[in-house]
Amino acid sequence: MNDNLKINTVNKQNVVCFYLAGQLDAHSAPLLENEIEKVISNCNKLVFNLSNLDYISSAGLGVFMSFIQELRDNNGDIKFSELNDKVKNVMDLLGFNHIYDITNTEQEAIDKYSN
Amino acid sequence: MTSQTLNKKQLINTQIKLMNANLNHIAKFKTFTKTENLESIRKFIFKNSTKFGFNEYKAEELVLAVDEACTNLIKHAYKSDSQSSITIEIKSNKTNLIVNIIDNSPAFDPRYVKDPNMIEYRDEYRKGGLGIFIMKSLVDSIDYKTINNGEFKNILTLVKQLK
Repeated sequence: MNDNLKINTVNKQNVVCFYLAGQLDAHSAPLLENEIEKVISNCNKLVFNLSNLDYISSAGLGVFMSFIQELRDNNGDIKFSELNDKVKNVMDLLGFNHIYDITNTEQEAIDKYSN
Repeated sequence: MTSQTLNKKQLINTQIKLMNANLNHIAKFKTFTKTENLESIRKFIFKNSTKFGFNEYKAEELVLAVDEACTNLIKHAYKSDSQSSITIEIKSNKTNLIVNIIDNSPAFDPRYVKDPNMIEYRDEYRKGGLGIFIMKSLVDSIDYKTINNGEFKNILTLVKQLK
């Protein structure tokens, strides 16, 4: 049903890395919401590797906004890495760079948790 | 209250209306109000706007603006009613691509939705409410009207300039 977004998660150094591939829109947003719900009961340090994310709309960005407060209240966070230009433009438009750590590489994002 | 939200996009509406007489009809697309159809709406907009002459960057901006408009209709105006339909018409003149999004949900004029205060938005981690702001930011002009000739319709018009 939600076949326009693929989500994989990998644990690395006590951080859960999400690999999103495809399109994050109003259709696929509930799928991502479910996946984040599952993960945050065990781990609240998340990195989203967006190198294969081709598209994002406000419905997709809203998913991150809905978890960020709860995560930060519990010493966790959401960090983004490896954005393509298209996704970066949308995030810049909404000032996401002021709210979130956005790094070039996934490793930089992971390292920020241990600093 | 409404005057607060008027900006350069509304000011040039008069110009656009004057040009309406000589528009080329490019394409029309009708689809049910389901989120799974957003992808085909995006493909339709991308295909026709690159054919019109937009570079990929501008075409993607229009794609996102139309997605936000349609997402609003599907999620808010129609809630979970997936049996209604949205019609998208693309027209053009020499310098503008004009997208009409036509539906028959209750009237709602997005031009008068106040832009979010981005500082408050960020400080309070608000979710939602950004779709209309994105839509307004990515096109050059927005128009909205309702018509009722036996059947009630909303027509939301997004205009994007070639240059």
